[in-house]
Amino acid sequence: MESALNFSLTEQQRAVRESVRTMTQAEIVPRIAHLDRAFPDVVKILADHRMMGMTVPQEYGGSGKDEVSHVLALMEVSRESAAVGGVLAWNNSLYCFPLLKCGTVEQKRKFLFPCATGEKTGSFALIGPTFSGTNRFTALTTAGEGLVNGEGSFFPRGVSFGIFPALFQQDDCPAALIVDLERAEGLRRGETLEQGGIFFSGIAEAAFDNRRVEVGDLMAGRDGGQVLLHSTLREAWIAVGALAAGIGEGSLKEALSAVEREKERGSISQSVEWKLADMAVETEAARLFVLKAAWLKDQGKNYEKEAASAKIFASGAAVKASCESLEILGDRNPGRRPSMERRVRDAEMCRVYYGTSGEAGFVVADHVIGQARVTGF
Amino acid sequence: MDFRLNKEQEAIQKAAREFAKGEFDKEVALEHERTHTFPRSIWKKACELGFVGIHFPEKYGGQDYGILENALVTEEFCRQDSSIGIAVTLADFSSEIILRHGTEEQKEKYLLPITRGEALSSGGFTEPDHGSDITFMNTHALKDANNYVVNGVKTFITNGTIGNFVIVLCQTDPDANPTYRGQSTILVEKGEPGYTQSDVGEKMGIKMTSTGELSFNNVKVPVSNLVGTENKGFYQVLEFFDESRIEIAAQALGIAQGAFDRALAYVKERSQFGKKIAQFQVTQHKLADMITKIETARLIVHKAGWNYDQGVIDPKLTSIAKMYAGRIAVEVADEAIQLHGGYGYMLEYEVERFYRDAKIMEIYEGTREIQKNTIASSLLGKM
Repeated sequence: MESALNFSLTEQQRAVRESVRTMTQAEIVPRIAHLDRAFPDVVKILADHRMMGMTVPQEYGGSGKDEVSHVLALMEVSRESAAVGGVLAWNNSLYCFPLLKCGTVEQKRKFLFPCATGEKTGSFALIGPTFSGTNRFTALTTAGEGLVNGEGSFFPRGVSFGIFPALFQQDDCPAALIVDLERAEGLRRGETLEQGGIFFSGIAEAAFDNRRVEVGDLMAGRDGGQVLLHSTLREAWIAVGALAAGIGEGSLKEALSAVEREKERGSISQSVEWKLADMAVETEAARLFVLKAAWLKDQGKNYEKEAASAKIFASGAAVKASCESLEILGDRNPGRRPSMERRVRDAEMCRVYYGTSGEAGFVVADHVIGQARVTGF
Repeated sequence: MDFRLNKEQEAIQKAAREFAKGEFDKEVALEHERTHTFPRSIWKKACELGFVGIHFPEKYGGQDYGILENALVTEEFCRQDSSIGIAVTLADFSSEIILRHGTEEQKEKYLLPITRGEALSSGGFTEPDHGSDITFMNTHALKDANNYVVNGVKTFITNGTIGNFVIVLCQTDPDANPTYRGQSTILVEKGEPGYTQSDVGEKMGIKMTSTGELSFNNVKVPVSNLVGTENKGFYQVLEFFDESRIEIAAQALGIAQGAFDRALAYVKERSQFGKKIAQFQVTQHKLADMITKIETARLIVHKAGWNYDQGVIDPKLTSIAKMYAGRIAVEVADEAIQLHGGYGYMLEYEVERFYRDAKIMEIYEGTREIQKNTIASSLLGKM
């Protein structure tokens, strides 16, 4: 196909955006004040709209969309609720994606299918992108049966499956284990930590006492653990960027409606106008960056640098836009302030989680320095 | 959606890069910088190769490409050398008003010399008393039989002292209400009796670009020098800004990239405390921030160019591109100096020149503040 710069969406991508927009207004917005108590309901809504496995092929229960459609959906939902966006992000990007990339056919059938349909949910058990938990995996057979012990792993509360990082007992080689969290044997659930933003992602600790790992629960074999973790993080950065871009757009929309009456009277102050302009500039830039990272992934190209940049830029822009918007709301529309305060907290989370923006910065720097070595300007 | 350039665009980009690398010699640049002279021979070569007016139709000596292709050339030129790049890419400044609104005779007469490297053009909009506010012009062009008689002063005019013709925004109907409905664009050629071109004086940057003050003292030009429609000049100029601002945004983008390239090369050579300064985390994060800004700006500039070439005029997007690229050019060039330390303050190391040239990006062709007003107006749905 002849390449040509083209910023238009395809018919299919446009249709995804429209249907998610409609769904968000009809089914998410009316529940928005009580969403933190409504996790199963939200999953059901998203599953009904076939959004839980957006990029998963239909044979594994997903809807077989491209990554651009996925980020469009994340942005649309996150304009209203980045928490709902977060549910999509962890199930799609932190669970379905690594299974799709590294899982065996059997693992895909067993663990991917139920989560891609939304019957169940899953996530990568990340707290910081490292193997910093104490999980140790003792392999009993070469096929992958064994025992895991340890604590200090966190997973989003409410999910059924987790992919847990662990180290092989004998040589500290990184491993990734799929754990059915609904099975209690050998599993201790620690306390739940509430988070400031994206509040569905209250995280719960999982501790293992001689938890038996069945044959086929070990992912990516002996050498693939680190690769799996890294590629999952890169994928997650696109998703976080999309959440943040959505928060930015939602913040701008909220600010615009807050000044509606002043606009009609023609009494809107220039300082407010300029804040709106700044928000529009950064939101547009964030959106383009996220779309480019997603598009690169669809093209089968390396998207690591763009994914990291999208996360850094979009989350920074979302923090600024949400804070400015909250100030504009001020006493103009106190009734809408709680939803803006939520956006501020959600935006800040986008800077922090799935690897802080600082960590993503190293990836960008590595690319820049390495790349320049090749091109040798 | 497709973020790739097509093969022709890639070829244009490569040709522009190679031309600039081969011709924009650093010593030549520093000589022009010191003498405040326009890089005439480089400009002529750029015209010969079809870079100037690349977006003009072939019959006027152009290449029939769009604003996006012009932006690609502009970025590469300014990346290699901010001052030469700006001077050369502004050689055809404002001639687009003739291209979009002029008569066939005007296009043949004035556009061909531009693409052939025989003439430079100017746009006369700003006046001593007002630049951002162009809703009223003190410069008048009143009809007298078959002539317009132009009186007034224009300032900060690009190619001011060296331009062969200028398109002057004049009040042709002083009684119009609102006043901007009484403005027209009138072409005045160099050498007309009563028309004088002088230099505005020493500038912070863009020293190879001539910036002039033009004064019109009973300058008589035939009514056929009206460009476009009488009393529609204000609208024609605003429309012109929708394309010219994309070019300026591309200049800013090129300056940012050029400053970044130099900083990157420097940090990999320079050692302090026993290691390359590129190995310090603080350096790495500076580089990451700089490249993130550059790449977001590039996405917006390309989108704006693409959009214009689709036949969609979107002043909001154009202003976003101009304001954002201008801002990051200043920020990136500033950081590039910082990464160079003391050497960055020296003319020899170029980044201080890029910084001085970057600053104009936030001023000319509509200040940052004017861009913000445009963006806000379009968000709020009023104009």
